Parts: sequence; C-alpha cells; structure tokens
Amino acid sequence: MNLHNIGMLAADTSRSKMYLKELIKKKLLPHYVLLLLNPNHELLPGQTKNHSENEIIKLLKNLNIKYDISYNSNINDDYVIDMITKRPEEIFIFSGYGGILLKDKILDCGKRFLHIHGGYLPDYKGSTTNYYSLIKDNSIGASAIFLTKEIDSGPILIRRKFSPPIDRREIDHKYDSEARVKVLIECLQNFIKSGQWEYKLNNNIGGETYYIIHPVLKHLSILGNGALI
Amino acid sequence: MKEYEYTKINRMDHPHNYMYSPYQGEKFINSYFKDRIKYFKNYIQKREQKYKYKIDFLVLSDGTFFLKKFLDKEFSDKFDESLKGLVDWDNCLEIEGYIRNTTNNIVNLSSLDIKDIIKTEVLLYAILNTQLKGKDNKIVKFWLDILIKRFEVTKKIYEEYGSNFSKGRGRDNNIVLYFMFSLCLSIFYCSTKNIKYLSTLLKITDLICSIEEKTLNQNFPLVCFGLILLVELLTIKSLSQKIKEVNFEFA
Repeated sequence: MNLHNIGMLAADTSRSKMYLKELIKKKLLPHYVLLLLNPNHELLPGQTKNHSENEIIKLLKNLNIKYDISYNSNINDDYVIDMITKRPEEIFIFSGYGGILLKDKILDCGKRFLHIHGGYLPDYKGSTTNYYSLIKDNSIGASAIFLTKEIDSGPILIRRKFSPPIDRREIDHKYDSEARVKVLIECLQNFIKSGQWEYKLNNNIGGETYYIIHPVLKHLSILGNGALI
Repeated sequence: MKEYEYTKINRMDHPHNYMYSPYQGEKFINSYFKDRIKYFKNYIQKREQKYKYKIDFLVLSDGTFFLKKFLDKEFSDKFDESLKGLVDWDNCLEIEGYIRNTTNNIVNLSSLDIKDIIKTEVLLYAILNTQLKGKDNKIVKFWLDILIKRFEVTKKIYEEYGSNFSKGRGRDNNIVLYFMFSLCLSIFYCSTKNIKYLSTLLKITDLICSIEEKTLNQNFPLVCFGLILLVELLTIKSLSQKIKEVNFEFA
C-alpha cells in the first residue's frame, strides 16, 4: 500500500535503513522520501559508515518511490525546510541524524512529523533513555508521537515496552531501532485501519528528561543482566 | 589497561559530547575506577585552606557532613572502609558550628524567578541551602533540571543566565561553580537515587578532574571534592556489584 499522504525524512543511518526495509516488507510504502546525505568524511550521529553507493537510494529506486536527495544534512537548514514545505504530503516519518532537535521554523512549516522516540513515554524523555530504563527497569521501550516544540512531549499515539536485548552491545544500531520500527509499523497499521491518528495517551506530561548517558553508566547498562537500582 | 579518556585532556577547553560512546567491555569500568581513585587519593590528603568568605563554610561543613552520613549508611564493606579511612574527618568537619548564622546571606530558593537574570552562584547557594536543610526537593529538582539542561547542551556553566535561562552569559570557567554544581548533584543523587543526576555528576567530575590541580582556583575545596568523588565511585562500585558473572577490579 502506498501511503499517499505520508512522506519520510530519512538520513544515511542504520535506523533509516531499518525503517525503510521494514516498511517495504509490510507493504507500507511512503509516498515520497527526502534523503539527507552527509557530504563530509566525518560520520554523523547514527552512522556506522558513510556510503558512496547508497543502499537507501537503491531501495527507493527498486520500488519506484519518489525521492529527492539533499546534500545538506541539517534538517533545520532553509533549503531542507523549503523542500519539505513544497511537498503535498502532510505527514513525514522523521528519521534524521541523531542529536539534532527540530527548531521552530521547521516545526511551523505546515507539516507534521511522526517520530518514534526510543523510550517509554512519558517516563523516559530525552536521549539514550533505553540505557537508563535497562538500569532502572531492565526493559527498553519505544513511543510514537508527533513532534512538538517541547522535547518528546507530543500526545502519544502508541507506546510499547520490550524485553532487554540479548546482545546489549548492539543497542545503538540494532535493538533501539528494532523497537522503534515495531512501534512505527503498528502505528501506521492503526492509522490505515481507523483512517485517523488515534492517541493512546493525550496527556504526555511528567516523566523525566534524560541526557546522553555517561559512558560508565552505559557500560553498566550493557554489562548488566537485570535492573541495577 | 586502556586509559580513562574522559579526564585525559582539559575538558573545560575541549568538552566531550559523550555521544555514541564506544563499548569497551568491563576493562573500561576498571579504568574508570583506577582513574577516579587516583584523583580521590590525591585530593583527600590536602589540607583545606582558610576561606575568604564565611558562606563557604556552609557548603563545606554541612555538605561534608551530609556526604559522610550517606557514605556511612550506604557503604561499609572492607574496601569501602579502607577508602573512607583515608579521609581526615576531623579536618573536614572541624568548621561545623561556625556557620549557623551565615545562611542569612543566602537567598531563599523560592524567591528566585526564572524570568529574571539569575546569577549562578546565588542560585547554587540557594539550592545547596535548601538541600542541606532537607527542604522541598521539588523546587530543588526544578532548578537543578534547568541547570542540567544548560550544562548538557553547552558543557559549560556560565556566571549568569538571561531571562528564562535562555542563554549563559559572562565567564564560563569559574571552577568553583562547577564544584558547587557537583555538590548539588551528589546530594540530590544521595536523596533520590535517580541516575539522571549521577550521569551528569560523572560528566562534571570528569571535567573537574581533567583540569590540572595547579591551575585550580585557590578557593577550590579539594577535600570536599574528594568526598564527592568517593560518593560517586562507591555508588558505581555498588551498582556494578549487582552485575552477575563480571568481576571488576576496584583497586
């Protein structure tokens, strides 16, 4: 099924690739993809390598999904905002590079950005929250929201908790994305089924906002085999 | 064993963003312990200097007393006691009692308004005073969360912040402010066991340890900072001991 009103903002990252592959597998094809490529040699957050022969482009070509490429990786850049604004799709699945917050200008461009947060909301807002939740609850999570100006605070479409991964060393590039993609698929399937975006929790307030976990705690979270607190 | 990289170079001049830090196995935890114990042993043997302002006694004596109570309550195995035994507690606590009338100089935390320009030193003293008197944690959390957000974004603590804490202004290298922030965070972690505060504390202590001792301001309370390191490293040790089938080298 081609999701006519839904586009995707993708980056050259393991997460975007996983999103696309799973969307293809479930036949939930975005109508359009804007791919932000990293023009520099230095890797951006979320990248394990910078591809010259881009795998995402091959996927899009094979499936005849309309796409554009931006060699400016900054989602908040005017050029990128302009490309998104002129598109007819109203909703964009957001999968940009890590560590970048969407500024007011793009949030006010008339589109809505469907974001799958790597953490169980509202309890775990912010960054690297699955490491924190492994230490506290021995679980990881993912939650679907539309981005708003306040970080991870939009109404919650769906949220799920998952068992701790078998190999915790692969959280950053595998298990965190896997949890997110499961929630993304379920969220889109719900939308197709009901024809509207239904919120499981309108009131996404409270909880704790976390920041990038310190490497010592990250190591304890990976080495751990149960809650530590 | 690989060196603990986060204190290796001056993190005031070269901040670390901690993003996607690589996994290095249990050896990384061992290198952290080794590094922190080195700094702890160095700082704890210093004699506190005489401080210029009476207000400092509040922070040092009541803060020290609070941390001692936490250390005594939470950590008591042979290794813990051997580290605690290195502290000259009489020296640390001898100024207790001096300070009962100095709190008048500290503003009431609830009187601060985020819409105003906030002097960081004033805010940190107000937070510490509220914490050490065992008062409302909610208002402490409110202000600490704001400071944490600014620090995590910029990796700096500025002398003052503009209206709504939007932007830091003035000097960003007053190391005593970083120390005071680390004391606030350690006390808040002791009270709540919320690892969010431990995570930021680890970054602040990385930064302070990374600065050459001889360049630290003469008002920098080395011994009290040593105690903060002790609280932090024994907490990490305690958390790591809950991990089965991994043997860490604490010493």
